[in-house]
Amino acid sequence: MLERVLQLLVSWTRPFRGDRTTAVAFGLLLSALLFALVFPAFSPFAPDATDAEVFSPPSPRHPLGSDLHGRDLLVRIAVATRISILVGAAGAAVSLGIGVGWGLVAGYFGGKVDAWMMRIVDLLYALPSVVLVLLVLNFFESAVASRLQRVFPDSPDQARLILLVLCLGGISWLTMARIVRGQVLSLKERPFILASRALGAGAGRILFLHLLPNLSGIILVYLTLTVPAVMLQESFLSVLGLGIRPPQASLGTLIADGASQLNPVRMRLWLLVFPAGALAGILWALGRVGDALREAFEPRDRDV
Amino acid sequence: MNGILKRLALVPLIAWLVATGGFFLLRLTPGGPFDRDRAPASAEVEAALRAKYHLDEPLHRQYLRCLGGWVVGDFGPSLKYRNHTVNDILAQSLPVSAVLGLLAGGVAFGIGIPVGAWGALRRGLWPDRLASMLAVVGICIPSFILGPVLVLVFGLQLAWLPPALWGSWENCILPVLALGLYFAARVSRLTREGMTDVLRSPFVRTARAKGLSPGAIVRRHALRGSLLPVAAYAGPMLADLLTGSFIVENLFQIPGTGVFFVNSFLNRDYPMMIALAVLYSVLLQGLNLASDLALRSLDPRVRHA
Amino acid sequence: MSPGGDIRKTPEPVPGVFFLSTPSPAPARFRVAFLLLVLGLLHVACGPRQRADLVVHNGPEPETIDPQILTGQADGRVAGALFEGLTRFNPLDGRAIPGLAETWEISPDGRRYRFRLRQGLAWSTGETITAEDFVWSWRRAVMPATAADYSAQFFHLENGEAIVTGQEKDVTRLGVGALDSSTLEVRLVNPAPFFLELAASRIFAPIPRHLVERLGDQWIRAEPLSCSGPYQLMQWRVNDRFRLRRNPRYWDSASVATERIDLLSGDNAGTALNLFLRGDVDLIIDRKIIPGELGPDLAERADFHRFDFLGCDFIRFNTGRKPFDDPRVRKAFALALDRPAMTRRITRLGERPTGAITPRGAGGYEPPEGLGLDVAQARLLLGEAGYPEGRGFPRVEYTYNVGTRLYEQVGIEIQAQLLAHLGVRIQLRPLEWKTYLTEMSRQSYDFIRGSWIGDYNDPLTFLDCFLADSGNNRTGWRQPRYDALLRSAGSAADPASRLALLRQAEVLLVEEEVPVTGLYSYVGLCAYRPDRLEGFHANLIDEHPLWSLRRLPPR
Repeated sequence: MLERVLQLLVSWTRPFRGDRTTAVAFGLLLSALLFALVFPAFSPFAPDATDAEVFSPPSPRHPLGSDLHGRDLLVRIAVATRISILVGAAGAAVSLGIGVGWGLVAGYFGGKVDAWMMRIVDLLYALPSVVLVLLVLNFFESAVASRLQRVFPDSPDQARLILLVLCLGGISWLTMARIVRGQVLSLKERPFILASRALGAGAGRILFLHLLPNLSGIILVYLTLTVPAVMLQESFLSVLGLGIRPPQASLGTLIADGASQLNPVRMRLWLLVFPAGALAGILWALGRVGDALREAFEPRDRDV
Repeated sequence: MNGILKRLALVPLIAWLVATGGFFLLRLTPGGPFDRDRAPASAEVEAALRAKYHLDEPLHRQYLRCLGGWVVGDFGPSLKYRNHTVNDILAQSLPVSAVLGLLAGGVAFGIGIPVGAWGALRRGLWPDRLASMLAVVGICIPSFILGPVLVLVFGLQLAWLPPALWGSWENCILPVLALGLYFAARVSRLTREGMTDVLRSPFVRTARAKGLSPGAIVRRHALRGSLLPVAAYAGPMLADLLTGSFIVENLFQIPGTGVFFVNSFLNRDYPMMIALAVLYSVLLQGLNLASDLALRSLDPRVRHA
Repeated sequence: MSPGGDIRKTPEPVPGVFFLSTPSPAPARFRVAFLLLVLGLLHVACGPRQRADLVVHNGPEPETIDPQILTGQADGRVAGALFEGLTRFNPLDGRAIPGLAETWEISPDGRRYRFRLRQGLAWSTGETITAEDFVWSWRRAVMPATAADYSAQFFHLENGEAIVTGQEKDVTRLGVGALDSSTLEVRLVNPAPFFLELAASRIFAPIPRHLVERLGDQWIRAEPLSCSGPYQLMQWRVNDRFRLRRNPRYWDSASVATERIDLLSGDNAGTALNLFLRGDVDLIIDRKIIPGELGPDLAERADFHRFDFLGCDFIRFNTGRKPFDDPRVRKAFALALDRPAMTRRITRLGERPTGAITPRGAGGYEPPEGLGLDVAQARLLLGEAGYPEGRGFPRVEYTYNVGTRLYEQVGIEIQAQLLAHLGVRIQLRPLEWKTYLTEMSRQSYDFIRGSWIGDYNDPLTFLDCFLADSGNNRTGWRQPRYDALLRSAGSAADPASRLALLRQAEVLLVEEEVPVTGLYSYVGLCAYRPDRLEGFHANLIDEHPLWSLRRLPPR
């Protein structure tokens, strides 16, 4: 058991050696993270400082240009990346925790358990998520805000962001559960699972040592689909007035704002291209790293 | 067969739970359907308006009244579009969204599955890298970016296709692409994963050992198994597509159902919102059932789907 | 050795093309069935469609086109084409000109109007229109049971307010009567100089009694619908369009310029613009569906047209909550806002920055300037109120509704200006529309975005809002002096002294007590090619009758 875990841990690093693309992707992710966390402290501009130099195209002063309020886009992308990563990570964590667990249990035990668990998923799918988000914000925002203010009296109000991240996580795991469960239904009838069951392995052992590694590929792939979907969902909620508070921004909201540049009259494309490029870069790198991780997780001995 | 009947029997039950949940949750949201930025002429006028739509009754009475309607499939009058009933609006808009959704689903499968399978067969080689790159672009370019780009290029610059509105087949093309390509990217990722998985399994190696050509292996053995993740995903995806997309319908000014999913919430159009949740729920359950049956037929090992 | 490695190394001749021919393992008959399904639905969903003689983008789908119920501008444009009242709007300047009434006399005290209807008036379905129809319709409009939100327009008629508020149950006591089948007498409470314009608004149009008695509230869905205006309704498809056709029984049918008009419904501004630039739309009539951010670029073009109109954005302060219960703090905030910078940098359409509420030009009224930027005075007042240099100022939020990005942009600008000028850091609180309305009417806000669009060409339509008991006040501000000024203006017989009293009231409102402070008054924007459309004219109340519009052939 321990040996197995160690083996896995060692194999984790394998993808980052050797393959150049993966190394680039990994480097990109790390530098994006670093940029988001550190850059705003060194930038000459505050992310919400307005300025007379509005709609400046990329220039030495504003390397990525500035917006309607004269705010520097580079530093705004940096702080937006933080929020987007936070939102994406929350979605991923909940998908992994609840979604995968739910799918594993439903698929493995099958029968009545499966039927009821999946009907609950069906039910949750159909409940309108905007209503839930609005209700959560409405009932809890001021309470959370005042509690936060007591603990961190000087920090800006983050209550909405916290609640939003929770809500987005809460609605992002359903499809993951369905996909995992579909795979488990097929996997659990395969010889290697049947064999270990016949050898008296417990459900926990089978689930986590045999099924989970075989699912790692599809889980990682679906995670790379969930993360962007959650980020975009966040920008959609912001457009509806249920998202983060301006002047805070996420990559999704920057892109949504930039979408209005796609018009036949006057395009200030830097407002769209740079945030979209940042998001695409991060997602590509995530996908690449996910792929490499998948190679690492891939069981080598399934059909032995 | 028995299982299917049981599942079908649960459809109305879950739809009822959705409708009931929707009914009470909506009443908790701030604001009402008739709130506007100017005050009503008088308290009496406001009261009369609420009475007209039975909003003055105690909540349980309102609920029972709605329940009575739901049983016979009548969702009542729209509280926003006051000269239409909910059923009236759905009858006008649902066929529009369904056409768009079916065509977009065709694009999603028709492009996503071949591209994904191709990528898996060439895993790690340039076609795979290219396909993966395109898939990432497709996944993170939402339809609110892709749509305007398509309109600018094909609607305005080249002027090949109408930039918006609904009426003839030419109107379908851009919205179908804006909607379908995003899902095609997702389908291709899932297919690629499923295919990779299958190609590594023993039976493919056996088939190969028997001397079957790779094309035949894919066609006769691998493709079926590799569609498991896609099949599981197809239920929710098609339910989303068939009921319409807010972004695409709004962008192309298409009189479909999708816009109401957002607008009925913003307008607090309670009956409309409940009808949509029920519609979505029934559709989703039907499609999930179909998708589970597809799982079973794709992979005979799946017994109790 | 992983099996995956095998596959990867094997150079395979698997062509991608073969998948394209068999995208899924579905048997052929499924594919045929799918195709048939799509084609069938396509047939249901689309219809053959011919371009109308004139295509107008009308903005969001109307809630209703019932003239007694509607409140929205887009709703009113449709209803205005279908129904006409005693007067109608002159397309040139938006003033009242004879409609179904041919002539009228006004009593010397300005409180009694006698309208003479035209001969041979008829609904589009053939029934005659008489003075009794007006009386019946107006009585129906004021009955609380009809639930007409705009029935407050009848407050100017004798007993109108009493009936609408339920104090008077007998609707026949409303100040309107038919002297004979073609003479209508209207009795007003006050000499309202704007009554002729009011009479042109939708709720004063007669509605077809024969349909209402048959179909009740849903009479408007009758097919065919009886119309009194220049057009009749041919088709109504939600979120798509209204198709209108000239009403041959309209009294002035000869001067209706266009036979068939499509009014498109949609609320995406970018889409409306694209349709216009492609020539699929001849006229965009609604300010809100022209992308605001492109305003400055569009305004330079020959096919976009700017005009002033009666609307304004302003800020409400919650006078019932600290710190804005102190007039000095409200004044300090009002004095710390640089409105010209806001219109120059953010709104950018040439809006008029003003600290007042009433836009210039309403009924010949000259509004006060309101408070403008005066940083020194603002800091002084804030210091007097106990917050020198903004120290110790409590956390306050500026609430606004999302919907167009402009409100957020204005909020960001307010935030930056207050920080720069007062040293106060405020928070922004975006809310979706209905939550915003609820928070505003519950007075659960610190300061909040407000806006108002005039219903008729007179300052009263703005100043009315801030009466102590007005449902539109929503600031908690009650000032008997203000109410008294408006009351005495109402009974003033001489128009000049009336306007002077109204101005005094507004000075009290926006310069002395400041429960509200103006930001800027609106600029309308519409799109049409002057060489391809005639009969469209800008005017202050944004009324553009469809009957005068005609599409010109390309030269």
